[in-house]
Amino acid sequence: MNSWIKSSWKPLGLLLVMGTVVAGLFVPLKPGILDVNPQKLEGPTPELNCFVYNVPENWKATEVVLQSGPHQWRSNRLSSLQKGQISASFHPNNSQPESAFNRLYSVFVHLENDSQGTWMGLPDAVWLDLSTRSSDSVSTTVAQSAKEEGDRFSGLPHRPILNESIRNQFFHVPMWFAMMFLLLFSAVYAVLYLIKGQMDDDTRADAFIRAALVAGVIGCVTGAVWARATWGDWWPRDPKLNGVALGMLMYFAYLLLRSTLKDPLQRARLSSVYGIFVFPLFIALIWIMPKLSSNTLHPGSGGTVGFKKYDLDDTLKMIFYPAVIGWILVYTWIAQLVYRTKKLEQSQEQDHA
Amino acid sequence: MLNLLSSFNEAAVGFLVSEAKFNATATVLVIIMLGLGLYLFRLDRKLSRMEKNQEGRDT
Repeated sequence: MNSWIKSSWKPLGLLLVMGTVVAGLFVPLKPGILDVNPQKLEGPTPELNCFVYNVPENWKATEVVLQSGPHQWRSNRLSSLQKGQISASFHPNNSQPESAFNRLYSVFVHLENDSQGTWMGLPDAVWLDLSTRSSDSVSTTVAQSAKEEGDRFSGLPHRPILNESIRNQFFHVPMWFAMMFLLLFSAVYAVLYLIKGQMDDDTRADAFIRAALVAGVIGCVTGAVWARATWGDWWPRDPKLNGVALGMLMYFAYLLLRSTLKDPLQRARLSSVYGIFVFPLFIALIWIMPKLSSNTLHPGSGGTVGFKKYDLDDTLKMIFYPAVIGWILVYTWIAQLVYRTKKLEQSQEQDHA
Repeated sequence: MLNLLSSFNEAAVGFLVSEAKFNATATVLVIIMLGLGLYLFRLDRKLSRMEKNQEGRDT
């Protein structure tokens, strides 16, 4: 009974991971605007096609609004929502100042069902050319703000560019969290080895690094898939990616160093010192350096805002945080299995000797 | 035969453009995760057995 309680964190980790995998893959995405066409509005009566996603059948589009700061244009005519597409025509008037033209506008689509309404938007999606200015005067009543009506849909947030790939946040990001925690545990055991001199601590430190590298490789693969879907390249030029590559190489060098040393005491001492020095370098490479860089694609680094600012809404948090805990537990379990296997190998070697 | 082929194509195209493709991929991923979890459990139990045997030999 006591040992069952002691090892209950293992099924807990597995349950959290399974729950978040199922929720992360099957919770639907909220409705949103995928794209607009054309991206530059020209001429006296420009028409805009909005491609929308996941709008339930009982909801209909009632209005399309372009907004940029204080300037706002409402659609005069709107086609019905068919096959995820709405066409809206605009009639900009010349009562607006010239500053209302030749600028980027965000696109908002108003949705309504029998009892309620809501907005969905795509930021900085369309350029309004000065040629759209005409002599006719059309009233531009300010549309009800999205905040007043609130969000009527449940599910994962629909973010521009990310779209369905936002689900990867429950897989890619927890891998890095797990890797960093495991490397921290490894550094702690390396310090303990140098203080106490027990070989057990060195074996544990080694096992944590091996499991962390598995998490790192899976993190790289899931990140590459995500980067291809959002940034258009498997491995774009980004300080964080280059830092990760360098950091992982340093840890692969750790494995190489261990494999070349035959004397167990020398191997334990050298690799513990190496592990302690590499850990802060790794953190600097993947966390601090990208933050100092002014040009990075990852959220939360350089000039970009973190997920916390606008992407981590409550639905994401409900899946993301358990996923992080679950993956850390599962990787700790894997590290423990590696450690136990190595211990068994060591005792068998002693038996043979 | 041609009818059969065209109906198969329709079904295949329908599968690729519908949510079925996503659901199938997600289900496969869930099954892989379940398999990995089961593998970890079995490995853990096997190691426990081997550790017990080793302890028995040591004592």
